[in-house]
Amino acid sequence: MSTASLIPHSVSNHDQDEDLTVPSDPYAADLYTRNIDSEARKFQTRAVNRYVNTSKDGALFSNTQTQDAHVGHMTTNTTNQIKEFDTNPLPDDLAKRITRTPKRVATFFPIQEWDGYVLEVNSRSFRARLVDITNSESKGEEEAEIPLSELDEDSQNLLQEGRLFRWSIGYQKSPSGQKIRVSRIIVRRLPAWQSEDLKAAYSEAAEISQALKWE
Amino acid sequence: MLIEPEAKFVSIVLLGSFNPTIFNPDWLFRNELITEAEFDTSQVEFVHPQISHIRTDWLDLQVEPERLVARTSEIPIQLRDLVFRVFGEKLPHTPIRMMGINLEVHFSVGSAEERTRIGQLLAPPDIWGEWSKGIRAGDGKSQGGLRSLSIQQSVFDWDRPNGFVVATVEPSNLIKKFSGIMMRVNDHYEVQNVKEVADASEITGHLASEFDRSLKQSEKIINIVMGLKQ
Repeated sequence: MSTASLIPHSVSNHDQDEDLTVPSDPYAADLYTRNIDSEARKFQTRAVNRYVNTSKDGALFSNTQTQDAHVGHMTTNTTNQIKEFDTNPLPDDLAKRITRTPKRVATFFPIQEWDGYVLEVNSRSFRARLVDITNSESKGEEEAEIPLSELDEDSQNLLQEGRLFRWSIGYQKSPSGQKIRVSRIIVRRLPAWQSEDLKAAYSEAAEISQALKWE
Repeated sequence: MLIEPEAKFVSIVLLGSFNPTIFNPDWLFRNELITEAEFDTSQVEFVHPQISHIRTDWLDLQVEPERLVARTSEIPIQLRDLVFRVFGEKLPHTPIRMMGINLEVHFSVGSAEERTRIGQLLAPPDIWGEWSKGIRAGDGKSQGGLRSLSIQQSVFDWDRPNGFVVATVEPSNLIKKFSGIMMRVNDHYEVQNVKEVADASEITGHLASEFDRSLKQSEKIINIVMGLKQ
């Protein structure tokens, strides 16, 4: 089975109000389970089968699926014929079956990027140490004062001393091809131990870079 | 990159054992893997024991019992951090045996003629003897020539985890006037013992250490083909 990406293709040949959720988590079940009659559920199951078969039929799996009488439950007798993994991102036989042209989406192209960590958060800005990750001949670490207005509200709430972030300046290209220049700061949500490891790595890299400059 | 792409996608593909129904926006939000704003604007295509497909404004996540695909056309580091936190922190006992870090770009080379010329550089028609005349014939949609080319590297001169790199070149179906090329680099990693993998630790370790390096290397490979444009 390939580890290269399958381009997701959604099948929207069912009513948007139809809910195809069969949750196993009770909490999710509360949110997603609805009172629907048995005919609607059979329709849902057929729609899911079409999606599953379109994505998998002949390419990776062969499924024989039978529908249990109980509402919302589908018994699957699956014969998995997993191919020797194919490192192509999209197996040729699957690519042929997906006839829909891939949809254009908004795409971000970076021009300049830094990795940084927060030194201090003030009422309107935060101070940070930055490492240039775009330019391999960079001067090591730099300090910067960045307005909080550069971040969205959720990201502002995450800011605290020691937090890592990535600052990317580049172009956002819309599906129609329009291009705008953007600045994005992604506050890294990492386990504490990894944040510390990364900070140490940045500092070490900056020291080495500085030492090489002096030689 | 030497040519600014029309589209660019980064994906992380994991092969292992997954429960698709877990991967819904509510679970991601409750576990602080997406923000409230991302949760509010998320879309659920399917949540089913056989397949789950959800989207946020930057994430496209598709999960099957043996494969997970997380994809973005936005800043890739958030993809890496999300996948790392899911399997490094929230679901660390998930057996994951393989991972692909993939970069796909679509770029224009200006004209159909230039695309044909590059295709003939990569796959010279003349080696096909008498058939080369037929391969060269046609234009536009009927143009013969390179359909798909994949090149693999399996041995590395540095201490890389088990795996290989495959670069694929094809005509792009996203770019009009037959002037587009699609390039995809699949950077594939495997655990030491594929048949006895117990959890996600080895693969998440590779993700943490290799992600940025992998994308930089993939861009270099893509630049090789971009550099063929006159």
